Amino acid sequence: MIVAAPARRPRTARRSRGVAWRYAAAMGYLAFVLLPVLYMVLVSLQDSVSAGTVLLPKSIHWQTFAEMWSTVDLGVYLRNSLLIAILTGVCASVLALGAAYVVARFRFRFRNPFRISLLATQAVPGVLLLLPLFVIYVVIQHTLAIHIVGSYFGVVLTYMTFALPFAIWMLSVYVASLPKEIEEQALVDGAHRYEVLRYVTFPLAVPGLVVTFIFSFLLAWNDVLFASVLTSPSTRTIGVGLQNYIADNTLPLWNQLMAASIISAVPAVVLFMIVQKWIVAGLAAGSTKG
Amino acid sequence: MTVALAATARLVDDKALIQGLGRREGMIDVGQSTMTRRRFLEVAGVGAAAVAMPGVMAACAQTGSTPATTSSKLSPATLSLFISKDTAHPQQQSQLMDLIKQTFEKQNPGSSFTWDTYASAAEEQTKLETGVAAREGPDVFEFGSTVVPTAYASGAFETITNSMWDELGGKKAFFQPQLAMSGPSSDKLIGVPWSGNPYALVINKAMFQAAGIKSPPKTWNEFVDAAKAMSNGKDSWGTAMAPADGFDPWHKIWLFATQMGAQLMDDTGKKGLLDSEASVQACAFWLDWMANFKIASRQCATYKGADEIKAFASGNIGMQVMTGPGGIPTYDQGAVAGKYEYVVGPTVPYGMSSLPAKAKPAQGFVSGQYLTIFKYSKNKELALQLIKVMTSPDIQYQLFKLRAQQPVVLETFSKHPEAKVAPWDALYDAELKSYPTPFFGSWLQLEVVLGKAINTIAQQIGVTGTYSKDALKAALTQANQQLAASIT
Amino acid sequence: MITPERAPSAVAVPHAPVRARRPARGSPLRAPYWMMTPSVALLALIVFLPILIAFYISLTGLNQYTIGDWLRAPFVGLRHYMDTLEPQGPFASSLFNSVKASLAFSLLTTALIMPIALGAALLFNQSLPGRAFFRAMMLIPYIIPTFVNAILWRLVFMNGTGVVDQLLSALHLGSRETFWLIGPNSLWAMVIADVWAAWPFVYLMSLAALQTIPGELYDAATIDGANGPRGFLYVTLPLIRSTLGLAVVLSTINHFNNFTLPYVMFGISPPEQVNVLPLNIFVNSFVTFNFGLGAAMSVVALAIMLTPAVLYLRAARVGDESR
Repeated sequence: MIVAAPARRPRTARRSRGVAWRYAAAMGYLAFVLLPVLYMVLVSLQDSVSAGTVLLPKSIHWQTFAEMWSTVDLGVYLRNSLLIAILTGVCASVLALGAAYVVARFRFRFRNPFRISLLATQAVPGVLLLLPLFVIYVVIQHTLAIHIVGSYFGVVLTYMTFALPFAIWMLSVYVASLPKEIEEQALVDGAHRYEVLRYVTFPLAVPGLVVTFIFSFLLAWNDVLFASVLTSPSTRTIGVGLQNYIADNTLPLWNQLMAASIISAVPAVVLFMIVQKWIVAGLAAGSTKG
Repeated sequence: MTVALAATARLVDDKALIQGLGRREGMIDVGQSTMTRRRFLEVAGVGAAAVAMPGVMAACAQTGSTPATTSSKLSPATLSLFISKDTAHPQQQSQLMDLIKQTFEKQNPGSSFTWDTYASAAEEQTKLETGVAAREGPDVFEFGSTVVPTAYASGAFETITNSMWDELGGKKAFFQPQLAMSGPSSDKLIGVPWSGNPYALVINKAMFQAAGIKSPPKTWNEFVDAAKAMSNGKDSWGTAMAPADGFDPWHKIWLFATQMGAQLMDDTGKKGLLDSEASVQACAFWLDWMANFKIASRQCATYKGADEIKAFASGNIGMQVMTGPGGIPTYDQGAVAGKYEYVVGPTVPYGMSSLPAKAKPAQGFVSGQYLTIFKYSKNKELALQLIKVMTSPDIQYQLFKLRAQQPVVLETFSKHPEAKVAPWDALYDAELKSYPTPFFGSWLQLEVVLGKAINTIAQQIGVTGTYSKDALKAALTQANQQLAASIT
Repeated sequence: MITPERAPSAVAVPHAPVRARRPARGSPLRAPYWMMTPSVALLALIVFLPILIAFYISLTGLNQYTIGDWLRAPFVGLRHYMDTLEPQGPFASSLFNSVKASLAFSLLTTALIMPIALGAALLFNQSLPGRAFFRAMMLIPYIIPTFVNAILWRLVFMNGTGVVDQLLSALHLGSRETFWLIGPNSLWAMVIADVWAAWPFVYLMSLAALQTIPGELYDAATIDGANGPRGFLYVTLPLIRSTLGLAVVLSTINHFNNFTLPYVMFGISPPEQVNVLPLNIFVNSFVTFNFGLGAAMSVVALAIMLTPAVLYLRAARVGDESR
């Protein structure tokens, strides 16, 4: 049985009233989300001196959207962030699925210590890790003669690992809720464990993977602390780059900052709209199990 | 470290060992065996960490000790440079760096450099900390004057020897007050001055005129009177302040204390004097602007430095105290454009008619940016060549022209008199009346604990409109205790 | 997680997978541990090893004088822990305040986020014209970098010039000069900023969890007369309980650890109500170079945050091993 959405079959009148209510609620949520964004737009249209101190711009200052590109290497940072965040999201989700699968499907003696330690890592203040991690990377760089600090590889590796605990947890809860009979049947039929994972579990886990992808993506997208020491000008991310609109002791360019973050949010939103489809796709796939 | 890593790899990969362990602990059934393997992986992980740690440490110690090559001929290399971001002049900064690059590449065939920027003090310090701890970082670091003592304390930056200074044109070539923050003594200088950030009083001439005040105040009593004349308690204020800023509070308190002949830290750098009578007085004077004199709006309680600059640019603030040239681009775009002037600020403490003994007629502390050479750089001599280019009078002039920064090489002023035309004349004079902050690594801690103490009281004023001297004294005493705990 | 025991007795749950035997134990199916090796190795190197080093640092007097040769930083034993944990210690009141601020902040935000996020997840799980659009839009706050979010809300809450004060005075609800960034209000300013920025995280998790509920469950529930709130209570909630539990724990921990938001909103000398632990730690380690002290505070923070984690695990384990 394939359903596109949780199917209900109530009477038509009740149904349309329900849709109206839902629509009202949806608009409420939309306002909640967009009002602060609207304010960002207003600030971005103000000149840099009055920006942020008035609500409505005295005169619309479109130039902000042109000026912001030269204040900061926005284009480069945006490209880097997208690249790093997508790589982080994909790698973390895939790696985590493997671990999550084991945690969800098997009982082993150190399962709970492992899970506790995963949660524990979430509780570690990032500030604590920064200095030791940097030192470790430099040592590895010297011993293995590879390039970590300042490269895409270094940041992706870091973010990916930071995203793993959440991703493993999320996916293990998710995988545990999926029926295991199909997997077992496939194994009994002689499929390799990898094939089971690839062709049975993976498609079913897509909605969970979308969540971990988005989570890891945003972890990489938002981080400032690690990117500020692990990236070079050519690999700098948007989070760090945006800080350059506000430097100590000079006029903070709030208008350009807001403009730049609106523009840089666009590719991410588009990406999420695409990824959203897979939540539905996963749902459809999941429903076939019934 | 190689050993440690290899060991880790071997531990994890060694299937025989894993199976061996598995066999020993559980031959009961398959599930048990895999369980043990799982456990082994965990053990191996922890073991690897334990093995790796001393390895990391040993390797660390090694990577740092690359001896400086002192070959007379410089081999071409690409340097890296870490400087502060000029948000007000982003394109001009790139232009200036291109100019520097052209000159540097011409003088040092085959060599070049890349540059990276930091936008905040936090980023500057984080890079310093990680770089020093890992002994890996840019060849040339630019630091603000108050970070130089910390950089010196870390021992990770080259001393600029006399022969190196000669290469740069001699110490005499530089603005003399700036050298006071280059190092703790003349034989231990690590920072080469690169730009100045002189502090002076900025006044709103229109508001002065409207209030009928003829000349800028010379004493703090005059300052308070003038400010009162310009305040209406609503939308016009004599002055503004930024107590919520991380650094602004200590700037002002240092100024008042210095003009009173007092110190915030003793001569050993080991003991803070924040709870002294003079310190309390200095803090109280500043806070009274909001609480008692009502010459600054209570709204200032949440201000950071940038908010204060914006407030002055709006044209409703009479005077901004101890202000650097950083605000100029903002003022020129604001309502105050054409109506402001940098002047020499008051020096006689509030309630006094002349400077007390031991007091200094300070306008500000020695402030500006310094270039340092990282001790673990492999191209120190080339780095010096880069600094030489950056401190050449021509580049210094471009620094002024393109980025509106004060040059620190004296020849620049004689060659290009426009570097001393208003408002730069007042700033030049102010720079000559700047005094160094104590050159101790612990000064940084003092800045922070003092800022917090002030901020606590300023918030009280913001919310309640008033504060008690006892609360101020208590806050400063606690700050002093925290300082003591961090120093020892 | 769906086990007969945990399914509510009020409603029959058809098609719920019934497990004949416990997984793995005694099963001929070998656990593929190779699948978790990369994760474990990376975590060991990039998270656990730095934690160990940081723990070592917390026992040393690492500061600006020793950072250049940090292996030789003097060993001070538990001194930093004494300074922060002993009632008379110079940093005791500061740490206590920070713990209080962090707890208040993380619990308040989580408490506010859960209903908002769950509501949105339930709403957008239903059929609705333009659902994909709405779903993606809900993620916008999450995409705005924390740094920008902090600046945005600082501007919004700025006294005198901020939108909130302008609105309050226009509606005659309050003075234009209400302080939001200092005093007790500052906590609320930060909570609001963080709720807005972070709720999509829980929303996403809930939405994904809702996807695992087969549609026919609702049909069955509807036939049994359990739709609407009762359907939610008896069908939906039990099925997504473990994910929600995880969301609560992670949300609490994440907010407890939020550093960028308070740092950018309030700077290095924040009001005590918002001087949260990560900010305090950052100031102590990276601003004043007291790495030993900062590391010790972090270890204390870690110990505190393990409590909800362990509590959650105990609850979750009950579900896992139901027999």
